[in-house]
Amino acid sequence: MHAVPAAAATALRSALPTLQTVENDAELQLVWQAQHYQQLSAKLNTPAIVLMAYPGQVQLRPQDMALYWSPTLAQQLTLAQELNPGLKRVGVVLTSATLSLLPELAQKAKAQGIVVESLVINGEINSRLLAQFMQSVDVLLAAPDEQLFSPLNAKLLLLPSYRLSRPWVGPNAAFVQAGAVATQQVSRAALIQAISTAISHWQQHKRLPASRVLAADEVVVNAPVLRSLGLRQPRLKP
Amino acid sequence: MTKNANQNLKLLLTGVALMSTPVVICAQPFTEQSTPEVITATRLKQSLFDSPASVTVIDRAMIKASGARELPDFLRLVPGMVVGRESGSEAYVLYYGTNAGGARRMQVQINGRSVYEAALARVDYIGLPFDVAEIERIEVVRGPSSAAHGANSFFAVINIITQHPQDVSKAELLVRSGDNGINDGFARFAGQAGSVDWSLSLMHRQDDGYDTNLTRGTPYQDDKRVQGMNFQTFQPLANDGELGFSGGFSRMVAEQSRRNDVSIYRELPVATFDNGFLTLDWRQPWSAHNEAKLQTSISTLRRDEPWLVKLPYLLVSPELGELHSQDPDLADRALNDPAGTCTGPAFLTNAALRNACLLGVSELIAGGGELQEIDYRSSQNYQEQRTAIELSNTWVPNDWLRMVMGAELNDKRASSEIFLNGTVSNRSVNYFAHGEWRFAPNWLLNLGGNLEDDETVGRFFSPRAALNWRFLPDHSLRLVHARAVRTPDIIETSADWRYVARTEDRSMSDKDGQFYITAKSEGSPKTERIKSSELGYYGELRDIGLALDIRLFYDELKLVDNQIEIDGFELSELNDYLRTGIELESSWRFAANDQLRLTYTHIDLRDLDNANNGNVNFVPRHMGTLGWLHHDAQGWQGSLIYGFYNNLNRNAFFDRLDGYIGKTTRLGQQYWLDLGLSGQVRLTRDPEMRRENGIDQQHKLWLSAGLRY
Repeated sequence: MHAVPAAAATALRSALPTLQTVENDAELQLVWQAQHYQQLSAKLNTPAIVLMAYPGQVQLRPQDMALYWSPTLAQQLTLAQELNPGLKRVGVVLTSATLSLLPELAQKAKAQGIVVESLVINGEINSRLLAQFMQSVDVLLAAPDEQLFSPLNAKLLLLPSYRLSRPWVGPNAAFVQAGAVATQQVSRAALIQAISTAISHWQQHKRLPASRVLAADEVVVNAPVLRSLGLRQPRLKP
Repeated sequence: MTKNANQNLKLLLTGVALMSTPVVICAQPFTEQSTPEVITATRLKQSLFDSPASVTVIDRAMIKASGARELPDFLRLVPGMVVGRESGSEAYVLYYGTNAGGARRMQVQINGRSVYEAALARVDYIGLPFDVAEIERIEVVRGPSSAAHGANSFFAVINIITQHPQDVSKAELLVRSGDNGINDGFARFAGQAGSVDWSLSLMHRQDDGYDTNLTRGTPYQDDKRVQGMNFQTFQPLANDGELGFSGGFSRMVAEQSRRNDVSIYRELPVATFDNGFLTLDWRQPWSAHNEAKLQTSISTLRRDEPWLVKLPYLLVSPELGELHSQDPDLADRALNDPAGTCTGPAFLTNAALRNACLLGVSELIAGGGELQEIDYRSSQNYQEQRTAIELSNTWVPNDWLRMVMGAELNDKRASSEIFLNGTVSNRSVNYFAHGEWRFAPNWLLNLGGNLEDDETVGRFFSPRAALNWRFLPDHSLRLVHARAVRTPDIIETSADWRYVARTEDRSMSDKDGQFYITAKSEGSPKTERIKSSELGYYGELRDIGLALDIRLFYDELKLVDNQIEIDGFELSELNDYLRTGIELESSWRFAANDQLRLTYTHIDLRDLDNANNGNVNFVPRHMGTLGWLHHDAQGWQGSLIYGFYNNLNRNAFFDRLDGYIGKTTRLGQQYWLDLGLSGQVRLTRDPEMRRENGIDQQHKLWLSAGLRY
């Protein structure tokens, strides 16, 4: 699960102990994560604010809005360039579900003369293929895919990168804590502010505003990994 | 939380209150799954900005791009590393050179296990049980590093790290074939059995070495053939621990026409080297800040080199041996000028000479006026075993302090009838500690030391201190002072060298004996010392992809020039030398998949005692490499590398251009085909390192083909 909504949930819960799970008489629903929305959307009879990682994960009902909180791969590339301004080759690891995020990255990389190699992993991770892939890139970008970058897969993804000295950038703070070098993220404050704004809008207009991509405004760094790889401390001001 | 966000949260709460119907969190209760901390601080290594020494890393991409087939060829890429050949089966590799004693002054490890041979202080770079296709990277610490790598980390430390079974193909077959009799094969299998990752490799390498012995003008018979296997297993343990078990065995069969006196051999000597090892590695974090490591290993080496010779009995007789032990010059005179010496005045006064002369006369009479030659069998056999146990703990209490401390026990045992007249053992214990203290944001102090307690030569302390200042984000200066010792090897302390000769025809066993020249280690072998000071710079101009390491060195050396030869065996006194110079290593990534690499070293070795011995022979004054390397994701690899050194072994100049082009092609979903063409071109005709080492043609080409699954 993503650290960002987790942090926000904790903050919301502690701020408002009366928050409850689904109730039939709710006038507005706040739904964490696309797959939950998918499961529940048929049962929902009120508008919903859906927090999901990136656009296109699910089809929204007309009355609902989404707040996309995951940094884009292009934003992660910016961070990777901060860490290593001489970056020339990036490898992005994704699944078929996140393949749609690739063109935006490729476009930005091309404009900057950076070569992008991609590795699509569906199902089980082939560590041999992954190690071979790592050898021909300088840094690895992790797509915001919870199934792939799960706690279960953390060792399989991080240990080869440690052995081959190829840092991971992204996809979230938990993965950085586990051994990736850094990630951009939407801060808890920004997320709550966005939810609050959406609710205010709904209160005033009885309809939710348009879906929007939240701007990443925070960089999470694993300082020991950063130092060990001799990378530059990022000074990003999103 | 920011003030702004708090206000918004209040607004949210206000909104909720007004609504009377709560806003609800939908879906399942949010459960935070914790991602385990995989790369803990205790595992991490220092970057080149923080390193307390100059470090060269040759990574997998460079290894693939270079297309070389033997380990010494990769080490040419390390600045200051003098790499040459004694013969086709013996490599000479030593940082900044000095004498002919091979690896005597450098530590070499494979996955942390020392492959430095205890008895003769050599490293078998060619016959080790692994193939270069298995190397993940090579890290070379250029400078004394006993504080971190233990005993004999004197001039430098080479650590070779092999690939993890998880990172390699399930099955792989590679062949190389080309000029100079090159015929190699390599097969590797890897997989997972339960939770255990494993790999098994089989290898074969052979070539014809040099072609002509230039000093004799004869064909150079130094062909060699290496066959071997190795395996690795890794078992994950609870709480992120790991248990590794590995082992290997190889046999190198190598022709030895380099021997000085070829006239006595009935057959060309052929040496068989059996290398074996078993290693157990255990790594276990026992708290968030502590990790314990244990490595135990047994390494064995057996050299079997029978000599079939034809000699007159006189040369292995006790009479001549006695005379030589009393007066080597007189013994030589008696052999070179028997008539003059045996009729001189010494004949009357020297009983040993009289006995030798009388034996010579009786042998002449028996041989009808000539000394009759007898078929003898001797050998150059020895075996040795090293058992090492190292236990260490890494402690990282916070972001600014990191400490490693531990102890290593080395039990060395060598047996040889020829070199040692029996079995000799030696035990040493090393206690080491190393700390990194980041006492200010851009400052790092490395302090460490190694206390070596050797049962034969005593106790020595080797400290190292380094101050690193990262004065700009991508630029750091380092000031290093390190001291280290090289304790004598077993043959230096315990040589009792004699070539025992037994007749082939056992009915003539009364003619058994030992070659009249013998040698014995007498007196006290000296422990060499180095005091090394370094001012270094490491920086990266990242915008243009340039990395640069510069090293200014000032080394005060106390070295011996031991003659480890049976004829003229000598343990010398310590002589003082001053070694200064400058060294640079740079790489420029001028395109995504291409880099230019430049290394250059200037060495000035001053012989302060005017000893004028072998320690100045193998020291180039200028050396370096310039290379282009390419490695891309589409499977193309290639390189063109020029390397040279001058002033080596009586002003020899050596240079060579190495090239490689290779392509990896994916066949379907599962298979990869690797094809490559490697070439080496000698640009000058000087022999490589030894005057004997002649070649018929200046270039050498070979093809490689591999299939991976």
